This record gives sequence, structure tokens and C-alpha cells, in this order.
Amino acid sequence: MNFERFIELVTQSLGRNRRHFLLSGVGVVIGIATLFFFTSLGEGVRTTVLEDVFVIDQLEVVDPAAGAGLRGGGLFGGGGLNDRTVQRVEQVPGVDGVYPKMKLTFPSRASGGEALVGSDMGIEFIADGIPPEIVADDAQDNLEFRDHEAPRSCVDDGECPDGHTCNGGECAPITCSPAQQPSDSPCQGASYCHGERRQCALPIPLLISPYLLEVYNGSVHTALADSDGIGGNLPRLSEELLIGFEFDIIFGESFMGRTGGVDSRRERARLVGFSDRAMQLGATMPLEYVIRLNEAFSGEESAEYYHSLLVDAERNEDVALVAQHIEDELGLELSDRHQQAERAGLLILLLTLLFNLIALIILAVSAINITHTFTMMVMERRREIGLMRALGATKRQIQALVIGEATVVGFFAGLTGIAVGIGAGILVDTAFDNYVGEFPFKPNTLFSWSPWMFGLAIATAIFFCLLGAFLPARRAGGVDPAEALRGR
Amino acid sequence: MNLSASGLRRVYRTGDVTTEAISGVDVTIESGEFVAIVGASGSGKTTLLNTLSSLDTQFKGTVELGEHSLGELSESKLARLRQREIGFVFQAFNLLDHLTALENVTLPGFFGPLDNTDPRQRGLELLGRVGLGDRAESRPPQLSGGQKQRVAIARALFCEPSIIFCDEPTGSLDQSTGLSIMHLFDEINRDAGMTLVVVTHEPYIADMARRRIVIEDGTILEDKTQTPRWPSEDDPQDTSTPLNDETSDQESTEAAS
Repeated sequence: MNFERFIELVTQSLGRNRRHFLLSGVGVVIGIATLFFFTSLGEGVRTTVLEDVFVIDQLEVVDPAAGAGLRGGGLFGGGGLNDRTVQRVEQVPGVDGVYPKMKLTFPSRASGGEALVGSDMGIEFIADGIPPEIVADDAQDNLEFRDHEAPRSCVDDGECPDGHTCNGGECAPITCSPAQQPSDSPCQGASYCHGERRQCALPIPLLISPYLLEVYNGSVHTALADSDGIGGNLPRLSEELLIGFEFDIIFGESFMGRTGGVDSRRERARLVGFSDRAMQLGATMPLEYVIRLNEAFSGEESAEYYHSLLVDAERNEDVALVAQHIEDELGLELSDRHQQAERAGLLILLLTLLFNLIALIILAVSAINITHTFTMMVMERRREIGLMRALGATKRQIQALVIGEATVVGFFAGLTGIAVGIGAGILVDTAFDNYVGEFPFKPNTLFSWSPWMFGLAIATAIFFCLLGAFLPARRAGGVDPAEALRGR
Repeated sequence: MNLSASGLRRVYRTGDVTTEAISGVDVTIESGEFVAIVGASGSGKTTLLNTLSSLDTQFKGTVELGEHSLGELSESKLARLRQREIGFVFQAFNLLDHLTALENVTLPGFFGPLDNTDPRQRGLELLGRVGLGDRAESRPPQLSGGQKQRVAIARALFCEPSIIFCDEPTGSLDQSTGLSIMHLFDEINRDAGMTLVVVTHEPYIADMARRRIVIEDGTILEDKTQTPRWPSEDDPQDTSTPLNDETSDQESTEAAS
């Protein structure tokens, strides 16, 4: 039997037994809708929790001694991770790259904000540094996320950044006076006139974490929205609003303390983008700035140790193995966030599996229903099947006919189930959007619909229909043509 | 393609009760014959037809169709043989109501390859041949009993079989319609040379065959060749008129029109 004629026969049979097939498919539709709904919900929640809240694909090695306050650790202390450790982690199978992070190890504060809230504000400034190459795509400002104070060779002025000129094959800052009007100042573009050095300088580029923005909008802004004073005037912030925002950082002193023996230093900083790799409660600058600043304010030793190492795996599937190797073989510790992410991921996975188990039970019951309905149909069609056998159909062809019908029922029940599941998801999303208040990381949608889910839903629907039709198909193939045609 | 059975027995078992429906039948039907198997109800004639036609293979003895021994063929080869070499016409027509007349006719083509034949074209050709060229898209419930049986005959002819088995083909029809159907069978037998084996309990139908096998209690009581006799138009039961080709062709044409 060629495929085209087989499809024709299946179609004819489906057309004739529409009611039976519709009844068979109802259970599968409900089961697939449930499966699709909870799978997409689980995936959506998992995406939000693991990619936005915990950032699970970001493996971070921390030094346990730093957390315990050893080696001068703690918030302002140094770490026990150095270049040798970086080399050891780089040799772990599955590791694509290792990027050291270093925190500022002395007090600092930030001042500014007039452009945003109408008057300057002060705040403790906490920051770390990371290699610029791992966040190259995250900077969205004209001022690149790089070490602008690093020596830069040149042939002419065009190769130098704003406020610099080519002098003796190297870019050098132009001399300026802070008293000059901006229009008269030689510091053009992104550069500004540094008040102490009296030279043009580029602001320190900073990245901040989207998490910080979420916490501000979801909690700080919401809590202070109707308060008296400056807090009541705080605007809701967005990435677009913040990129390009400049403020001053005073290194060496903060509201709670200052570095002894070293004069504080004021530098301008500029927010150039948002990054998941940025410090979650603080700001992140290119690593070289932090090394130089730590050396200047905390001494050479503090500039030799990193506080953590970001580890990139070659493939996402390798993350778990790499994590295990780092902990078990190298004796290093991963950040709590990774463990929290693993626990959260496991919890979401278990909940998703639980609901999917319910869906599978519905589908199993549907398969029993299909067995019953198809058996009834085979019994009703005994004469027809007997006739087909008399006209030359083999047992296998009769079985294939029933299996073909079940496949078509499964396919369309799967499609309908997907549509119902998506419809239910849209309803839930609408309700969630309208009736649930703002909170940090409130997602635009609770659901994530990936192509593999559609494939899984269709395949599952067909599988359960085939499972249900298996016995009836065998029964149909076993119909004795002589007896069937005599009405027995 | 000759058909022969030797020492043919068919026993049915229901619990502890065994019933021998066919006992020790030996028969040979030559290619191109028109044979009527007659007998009273329960005499075993339908069982004999089922075993000879490969519908029922639970028999003892041997049945050979051409070079094929039906008892030894695999299920798939048996199915292929039924599709290519054997046609069936049943008392209850056995048409599928959800298919059109044309789709019913072409149904055997679904189960095996055809020799460079467009199924639709061949189906229309056969419907024209049985006088239903204009009813191709009608479904069985829209057809009369005679028309249904003509569709069934067209279906039996679809793969140009060597032999056609008819089980009480006129049993559900009035006598005049039954007569026109028999005209059609006679024409097929004569023109195409197809072997016809007709099971009937109606004497006037059996009289039209050129050979009559009488069966009683599962054994052959009588097996004789005969001169086909055609019933008169006025009284179908009167088979005093010998069948001649001219009359047959004329009546068959009338019936088809």
C-alpha cells in the first residue's frame, strides 16, 4: 500500500468516525494542555529565577578564607586566589576561561545624582573589577568598558581618546584648567578636566547588575514613592535612563571610615552598561583600575590576591561537572549563589515534574479511554475489516490503518492541547499582570514557550494515542474475514 | 487458472461440540467455467465457497488455485493472491457507506500495486461497464439494491481476477433485478473468460450455470454439466428457455441501460 493511498484510506475512515475520534481525543487534549502549561510555566519560572535572579550559568569560585575574615578578608580584605590558582582552574576539563575578580579593599563613597533627582546625594561605594573582555558586549555607551589610563601608542591625534593628544608615539592627556567653561575647555567628548591633576581625563567606566536596578525599582522606589523628602521624588529608573549617568567617587574615604596615611582622591565615573557579571550590590569597573587603586590605598599585597574567579564552561552541560571538579579536586569553594541557584533549580524542577506527572496520569487514563473507544470501533467495523481482508489487505495493513488513525488523532489532539495550554497561559499571564503588584524581577511573562516543548507535546500525544491503539490494532489485524463477513 | 480441492474438510468447534461443515470434498473447477453450487440452507455451500476462495484457511485437505496451494501460503501471500486473482460478490453487497461508488470500486487498489493503471480511470471504466457511469459519486445509501450489487461486481472486477466467487449474489434482490445481475455475470464469464463460482439456493439461478454442484450435509451429492437455461421475462421461475448468446447480450444491454 503506497503512502498516498494509505493516507487517503485513513482520511476516509477519520471522516466517517469523527465522533468517536473526537471523544478519543478529548482526554489527550486535556493531558497535553496540562503538560504544556506546566512545562512552559516551569521553564518560564526557571528562566527568571536561574537566569535573572541567580544567573546559574555564571560559576564563581570564592576563597573561603576571605569570607572568614582571614588574610585580611571580609568586605575590605584581600583574597587567597592568585594567578597560580587561575592557572589551576584553567586546566580543569571543560573550562573555557577563568576571569579573576577583585574588590576594592579600602573605603570609598560616591557623590552625585543631581541630574537624576535634582540634588546631589552621597552613598557608600562598593565596587570590584573584572577583565573587560568578558563583558565586551554589555557596554552600550560611547565610553568603552576598558582601562582608559593604560598607556596607548599612537601615530597621530586621531588614534587617541577624547582629551588626549599623540605625543612621542604615546597618547598623553591635554593640560586644562577646571575654571574653564566647557566650551573653552580642551577636554572634549567624553573627557573632563580633572581638578587635581589639571589634565583631561576619561571617567572610570562602570557596569552595574540588572539585579540592582530590579531591587531599586521593585523595593526602594516602591517603598519611598509616597514619602516626604527626597525619597518621595526618586524616579523609577531604566537602563536607558542610567546609561551615560556620571558621578564622582571619592576613593580612600567613606561615611564610615577613611584610609590612614593616604590622601583621598576624587575621580569621575560613568555608567556604561548593565551586566549579569557585574557586582550585584555595587558597581564593577575594569580590573586594572581596582588593582592600581588597591595598590595605592591598601598596599601591594592586597593587589596580588583576587576575591573570586569567574569560570566559563565550554558548554552549559559541562557546568555541573566543572563545579564538581573545582570543589572536589581543587578544594576550592563556589559562591553561595551557585548553590542557591542549584537548590532553586531543583525545587522548580521537582514542582514541574510533579505537575507533569499529573499530566502524564491524565494521558495514561486517556490512553485507556482510547483503547476502549478504538476497541469499540474495531468491533463495529468488523465487517468492513473483513471486507478489506477479502479484497487483499494484509494483517499488517489493517493494523497500520488503525495505528494511522491513532497517529492522526494524536497529532490533532496534541495541536489542540498546545493551543489550550497557550490560551490558559495567556489568561494566567493577564491575571498575573493585572492583579499581582510590582516586585523585584517580576517577569513580563511567567511562561517560556520553546520549540522543543511543541515537539514534546505532539510526540507525547501521539505516543499515548499509539499506546492506546496498540491492542485494538492487534485485534483488528486478527479479524477473520470469513467470520466477519458472515456477521459473526 | 484452475481450482481444485482434494479431501477437503472443515470442522467448527464450539466448546465440546464439533460440527463438520465440509467432509471430504473433491472438486476441480476449470478456468473459464460458470459453476453453481446449490444446496439447502446449512448444507455447507458458503463454507465450501469460503475455503475454496481462501477466505477460510482453517481446513484440512488441499486447495490449489493455479500453482498456489492455499493451505501453505503465508498470510501476506494469501492476501496478495486475493487481491490479484480473486474477486468476491456477496449477498449483502458489503459496500462501505462512507465511500462513493467509485471509491468502493477502487478499494482493492489500496492494498497492492496495480499494473500501470490509473485507479480512478479504471474505476470509472468498470462503473460504465456495469451501467453506473453516471453514479460514480453516489454513496451506497443513495443506490438501489441492484445498483449496489453492480458496484460490488465492478469492485470484484477491479484487479481483473482469474476467478470470481459469488455468495448468493441475488439473495437480496427482487427476481427481475437478480436476473439482470445474472446477465452481467454471464457476460463477464463469456467475454472476459473469468471463472465464476456462484453459491445459490435458487434453482432458476443455478439453471443459468453450465455446471451444477449440489451439496448436502457437507458432501457433494451431484456434480454435473448442464445446458444453461434462461428464465422467461414473464415468469423468472420458468427456465424452459435455453440461454443463447443473442438473447443474453440483448437482455444484458437492457439491464445495464
